[in-house]
Amino acid sequence: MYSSRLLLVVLWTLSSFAFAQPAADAGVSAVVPTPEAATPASSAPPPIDDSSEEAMFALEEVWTTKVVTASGGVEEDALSAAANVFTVTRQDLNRRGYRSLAEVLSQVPGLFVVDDLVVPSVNVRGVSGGLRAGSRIIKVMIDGQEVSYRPELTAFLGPEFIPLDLVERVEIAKGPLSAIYGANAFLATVNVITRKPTGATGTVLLRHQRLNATNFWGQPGTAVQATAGWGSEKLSLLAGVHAEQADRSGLTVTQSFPEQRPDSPAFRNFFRGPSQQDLATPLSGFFTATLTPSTSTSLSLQAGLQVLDSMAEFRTPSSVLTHASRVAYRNAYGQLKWQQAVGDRFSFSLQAGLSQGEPTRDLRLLLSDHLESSYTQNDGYLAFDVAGLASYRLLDRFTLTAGVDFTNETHDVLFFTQRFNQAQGAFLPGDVQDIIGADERRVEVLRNFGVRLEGSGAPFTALPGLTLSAGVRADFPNLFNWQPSARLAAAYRWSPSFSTKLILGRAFQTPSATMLFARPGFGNSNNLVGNRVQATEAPVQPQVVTSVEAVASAKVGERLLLDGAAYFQRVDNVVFFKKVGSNFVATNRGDSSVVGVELNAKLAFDWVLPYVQLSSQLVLPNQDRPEASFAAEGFPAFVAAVGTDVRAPKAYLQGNVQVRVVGPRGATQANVEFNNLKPYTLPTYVLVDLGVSSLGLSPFGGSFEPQLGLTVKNLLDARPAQPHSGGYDLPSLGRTVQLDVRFSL
Amino acid sequence: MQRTTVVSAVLAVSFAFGFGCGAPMKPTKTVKIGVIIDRTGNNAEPSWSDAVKLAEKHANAALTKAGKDYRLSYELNNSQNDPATAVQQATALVQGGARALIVDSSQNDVAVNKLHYDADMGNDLNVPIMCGGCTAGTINNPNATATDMVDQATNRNALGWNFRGIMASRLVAKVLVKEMLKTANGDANGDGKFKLALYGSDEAFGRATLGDLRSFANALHPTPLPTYKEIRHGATVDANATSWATDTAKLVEQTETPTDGGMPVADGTTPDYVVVANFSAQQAATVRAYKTGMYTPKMFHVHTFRINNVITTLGALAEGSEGVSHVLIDNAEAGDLFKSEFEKEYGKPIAYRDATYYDIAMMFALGVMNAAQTQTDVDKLTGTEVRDAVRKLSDPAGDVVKTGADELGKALTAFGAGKAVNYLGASSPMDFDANQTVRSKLARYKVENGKFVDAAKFDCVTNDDCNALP
Repeated sequence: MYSSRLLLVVLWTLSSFAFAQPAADAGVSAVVPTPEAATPASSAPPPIDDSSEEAMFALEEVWTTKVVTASGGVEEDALSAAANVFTVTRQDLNRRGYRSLAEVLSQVPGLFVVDDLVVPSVNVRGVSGGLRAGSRIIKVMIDGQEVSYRPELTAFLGPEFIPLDLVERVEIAKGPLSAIYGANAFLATVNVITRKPTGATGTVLLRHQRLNATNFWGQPGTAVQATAGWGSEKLSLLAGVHAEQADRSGLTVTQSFPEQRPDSPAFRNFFRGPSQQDLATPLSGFFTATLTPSTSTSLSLQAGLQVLDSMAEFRTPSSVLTHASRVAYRNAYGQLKWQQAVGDRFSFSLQAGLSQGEPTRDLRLLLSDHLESSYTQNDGYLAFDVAGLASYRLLDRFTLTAGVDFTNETHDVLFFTQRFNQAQGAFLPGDVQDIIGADERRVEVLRNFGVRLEGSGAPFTALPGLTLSAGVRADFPNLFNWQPSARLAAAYRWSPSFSTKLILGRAFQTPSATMLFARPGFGNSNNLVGNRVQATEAPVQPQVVTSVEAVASAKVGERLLLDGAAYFQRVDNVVFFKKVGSNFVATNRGDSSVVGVELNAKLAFDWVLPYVQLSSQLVLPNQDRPEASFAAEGFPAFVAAVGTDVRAPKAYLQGNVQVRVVGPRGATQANVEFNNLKPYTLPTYVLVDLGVSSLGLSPFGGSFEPQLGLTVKNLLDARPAQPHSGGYDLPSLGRTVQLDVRFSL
Repeated sequence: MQRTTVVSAVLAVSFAFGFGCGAPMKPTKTVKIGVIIDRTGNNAEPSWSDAVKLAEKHANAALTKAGKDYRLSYELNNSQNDPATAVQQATALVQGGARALIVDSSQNDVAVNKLHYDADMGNDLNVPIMCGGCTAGTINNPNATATDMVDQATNRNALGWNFRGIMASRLVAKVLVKEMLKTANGDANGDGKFKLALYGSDEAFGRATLGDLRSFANALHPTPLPTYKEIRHGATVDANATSWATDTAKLVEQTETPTDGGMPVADGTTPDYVVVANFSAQQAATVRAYKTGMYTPKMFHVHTFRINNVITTLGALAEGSEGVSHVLIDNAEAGDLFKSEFEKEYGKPIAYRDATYYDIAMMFALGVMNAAQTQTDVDKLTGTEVRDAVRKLSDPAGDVVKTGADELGKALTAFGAGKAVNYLGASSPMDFDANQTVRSKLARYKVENGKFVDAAKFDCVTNDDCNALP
């Protein structure tokens, strides 16, 4: 710890020296590799030279964004893509000092991230994923490969997801995309696109941070990240690792609803003082290699490792503030992909993926106030995915795509093992007991076969600005009935500066293995019990979303960019977590309909790019909810952000400042039960974030560029409560001060 | 102009006559009934609220069909099985216009009814209370005694506000003892003695049930009298506490609790049976601790074990557990109709006491319908009128009314004709005796493959013998 601090001081001194002596030709130091297309045949946007006049913010840069997620891998203009795609670029990541994918997603209009400081949960457009949701209602991918811990259908979105210096951009396609990606591309699809290096590249990042920094001096944290890449015409290699230690201690639960009496037995455990020893030590590693022996052939391999390791002071109500519960998982994934073009019109791809995950030996859970036993959680999975895709270009204007895929997931059913720390009954200290019946199944297999067909392009020569896309897909999961998905989109470019699209979609989400088969046993309350292993509730079924969305984008003059979306989405068979006595069981509950809007405005004004974002939605009444409500369960009534990006290469500076107002969030149904069935909301709060970093410094000449960055998140030290289950709402991290020193080659 | 005038006139007349003869009048009034049921505490079962809401649906369907100008609204509250919370909610509900209250456990029922007997006249609720989980034998017992005169008066229910919608655990205790005596006259371990280890919560239900077990064991095994080990735990002990392990270890110690309740003394014998009478979350904690201890005496449970929470908490550890409870449903036609309606409405199987809470909600619906016959403005309906109307729903000479909306329609017709009705419930005949308590059938149950399964049934409606049913 101390050695890393010393190193940081040395590097800081060196960098400060460098900052004082800017390079004569900062352009030479701009080592930003040219981002290549995601597919061999696609074209790449031009690199941005930060030192030139072009470094001034230009709307064209945003207006002509290319994306791949809406099409399933083929690069296309975001304006005509068959989904509403929000893109966060590498420049954004750098300028705003993001620490994790979760932080990235928290800034996306229409998404709301709730962090229990173990696995962040992503809620989308007025819909919450429910108990310990994680990323259950979205699909998260790296370069098109699903990367998640399958038993929970949850991606580890913290720093363990991927070293962010490897990321070229993050695409967030809002709306249903099961028609392309099958189950669980439900309300949004997140695709992390990695960089494609040209020549030799590399970065080393050293980060020191202070969390909950009251008076700017909070709990210390350190992160180290190293990436390396090399690319030529035929081969590209990219690898990176990230390790981090963060201490989040010092958070307290505050009373957030009237019936939550801190002195009553039901709630007093939540109010036992601040969190302590709340360390997180995430680790991520990623490697990818692409071989392009010819212009028509591409072979790629990618592999990654994620280690989630976090103390769990607030994750589950039975285990609040033990100062000793620790959640630790390892998740590994890999994929091999062959893409082949045959002639000018036909191409195909074959891919095979393997992923595996399980708890590490460090996982240990304790019950609040009862440390006589500790518990380990037994779950895990091994997944094998194969997919084949063929495309045929018709009349140069239309592409037909057909694909099949198959997934086989072998799940170790979640059950607990109790380790006795003191003599209890027939057990002595050190004895262990598996809390699962001898005859109960410990392994369950989930399979799915999917087939899809899609056509897209500009079929009418008389209407060259019209792009149509229509796709259908059928999935055949082994535990549920077959599930149809569909998408229909029409985009029309009315003029070079005005574009609209209309998107209709249907998607589904299957309950996770944990939701289906988990056994109780972590104490005698607050367990998530598998729907298929209890006789209380009807068998849980997949939830289905149907949506229609209209998107409009306009460029007003050379400086103003406006885009807006209005949507209606209806979720049927809503999966929610019913409190059955002391425990939770996933079950279905009617339907939920939401109408919403998302508006963005950007003003390019030389070296500043001010922006405004606004999102809001209205949850429509139904049989469970007689009145319409802006504040959905676990979701804010509105989010408004005003800020500006700054890029001033002549001053060797870039940065961002943002004020974000988050409206009242509706309580979870589980907590409404605790509040005598009276819905409540959590109050509005304001977050102010500030980031500044050096740009284009090259004190030693050549391509070696050190970069200094200072980021202050939650400058005003707001401590809002966020919606949670089990009788309390989550505390939030306070002010975070982060100092980055990055060396780029 | 002329055409517009004519059309306007036609529309006005149509509105004035309610769009023609026989059309239902628009409901403008709501009769509130408070519901105070545990949803998150140690005795929670959300299914009971579902059953109440099904009754509400049936009642309002019948009122709509009959063209009545009022509807019923059952206002759900979460008691957390905490008496103080239940009292607070009951008071707020009555102040908010509730004309009757449905409550859950014995301790909550006693706490709420006690408001009528304490020194504070200003807190009297003056509405009928009907409980669905109040099985303490002391409740509605005119001979009940207590050191606290207010408690005694509450239990004796002289003002008649309290109705017990579920049979007391007294006969549950009797059937349990009879079952134990079937094996070697109670001497299951062959040591020549009949010894019971009794474990329960130290509140109205636990104390009363352990007392009933002692009474019936003494009565049915007079020579020699059984010996006992009895432990009571606090009513609010955390389900994750280690005291469950400590207590269960003590239960099987070779000691005996003296009759005066003093410190245990060594007796050199282990219990033949362990019987547990506490709330469902505590039942689960007890079983887990007991199985962790690998103790051998057979453990029996009373009805509070038969709650889904126990199985979801214990999983496979619940397998083989046995006990005695009230039956899930009774009265073939009435019970079957409720079961099918419930399963159709919620897509899940009925749970223990669903039928009881449905019946209670139906009794209040019928009470309101009956009282409304003589009270032209339901807004002026009083708690006294509802209470008195409920008392008339068990008339053997009345028209039999079973479960479901159609049957409630029959009841409305009967009330309109000045006739009495006799409600035949899904859980029991729902015939209130002079003490305003009902009788029902019992079942000996066992957990098999993650479900409660009835092994035998007993008729405790006909008499206290509770003979086995074929």
